[in-house]
Amino acid sequence: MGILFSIFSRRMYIILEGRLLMLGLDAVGKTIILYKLKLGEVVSTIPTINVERLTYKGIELTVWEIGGQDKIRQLWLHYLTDTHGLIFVVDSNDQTRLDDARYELHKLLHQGTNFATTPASSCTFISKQDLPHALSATNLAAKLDFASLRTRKWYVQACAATTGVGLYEGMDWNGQGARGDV
Amino acid sequence: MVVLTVPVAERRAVFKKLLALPDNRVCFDCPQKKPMWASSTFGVFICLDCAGGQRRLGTHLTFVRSVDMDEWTPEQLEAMKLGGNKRARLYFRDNGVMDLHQRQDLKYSSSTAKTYRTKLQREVQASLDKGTVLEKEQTKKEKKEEGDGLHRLMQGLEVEKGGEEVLPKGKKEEPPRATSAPELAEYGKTPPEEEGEKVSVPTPKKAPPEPKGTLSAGMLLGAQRRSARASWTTRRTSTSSSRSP
Repeated sequence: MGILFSIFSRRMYIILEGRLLMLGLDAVGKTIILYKLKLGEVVSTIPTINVERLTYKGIELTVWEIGGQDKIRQLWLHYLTDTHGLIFVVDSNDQTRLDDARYELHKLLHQGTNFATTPASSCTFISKQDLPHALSATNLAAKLDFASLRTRKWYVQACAATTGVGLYEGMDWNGQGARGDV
Repeated sequence: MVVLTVPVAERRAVFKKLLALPDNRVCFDCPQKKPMWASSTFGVFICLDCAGGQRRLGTHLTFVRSVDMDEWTPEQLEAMKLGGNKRARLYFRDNGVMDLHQRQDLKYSSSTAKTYRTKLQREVQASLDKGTVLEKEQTKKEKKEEGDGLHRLMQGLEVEKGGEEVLPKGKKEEPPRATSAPELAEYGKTPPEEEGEKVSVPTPKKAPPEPKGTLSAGMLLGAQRRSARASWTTRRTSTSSSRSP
């Protein structure tokens, strides 16, 4: 009876799962975004690697969030296998390191051979839009040279993690990516 | 894109020296000991928790780097050398910020912090401009000194080897040449047989001619590697090729 019930319930509720990877240079606000999505509050952070499971619109998402220090950046590549989507976070307030961010993003996408075979999408969060020197998302998309990523689906979303503006719009797109709609 | 960063060995040496100072052993924002993070805009060392707090303020106010996990540019490293917790504390105290353990957002967005930041950046720029001139002079001097040192060493060895004749015949004697990279590079231009003649190591007359060719080639390779390591590395070009999966 129990077996029958479990088979039945599995048929009824098809649980969608997705694995997302959140990357970005150091101190761009990855952890804040993750915990704003998970807990709905702004936490104080230290540089780490975090893994959290989120349920967003019926999709179970496992979000891996890897630190952005130069030493940790070398590990990014190894987390790319079997990811359904990449969330790259860029600090719109830090214009001096935009070149760095562009370099890291493009290098990651070009080098990740495993990643290239999987149907992955990349969503870029343009964070810290609430700070004084913030660049607009359109401006940044041009500077990050997204136009050269022809084979990949990409999406740029401006956000401010402390207030939560723009986070869910980005997650909508990620959810669609995990479902395979995009 | 190529970003010039300080090589790891040099950075470690600098931080070892800086973190040995008594004021740099305590976090600038709280009483915690052994800070392993730093704000390169203010040239102060901070602990992990305070680094988390400072990072939230935004990079326009303070730029936080890890002492051991991040790459540092020469400018940032110079700011750490010129700044330091002691100097920053004295400046903040002199300008009316008495409570150094107050809220970080108030402390780092104050006008005192702003003036200190600009002052430090200006000094860093000045010292770097001066440093480039000084470095050139220093390298010239060093080259001369190295030459002298090598000469002295060789003389010393000559004296030593004059006395020891008990060496077994088959054993390779190392000519005293592996001391400095530039010297070896010069040797590399001449064929190894001539090398042996140039360096006058007195050997017992009965001993067979030493097999120097292989030895010197090995040392040459080592020296090249050493000189490559010593030169300033460009992070991007070096890592991009080695990181392929």
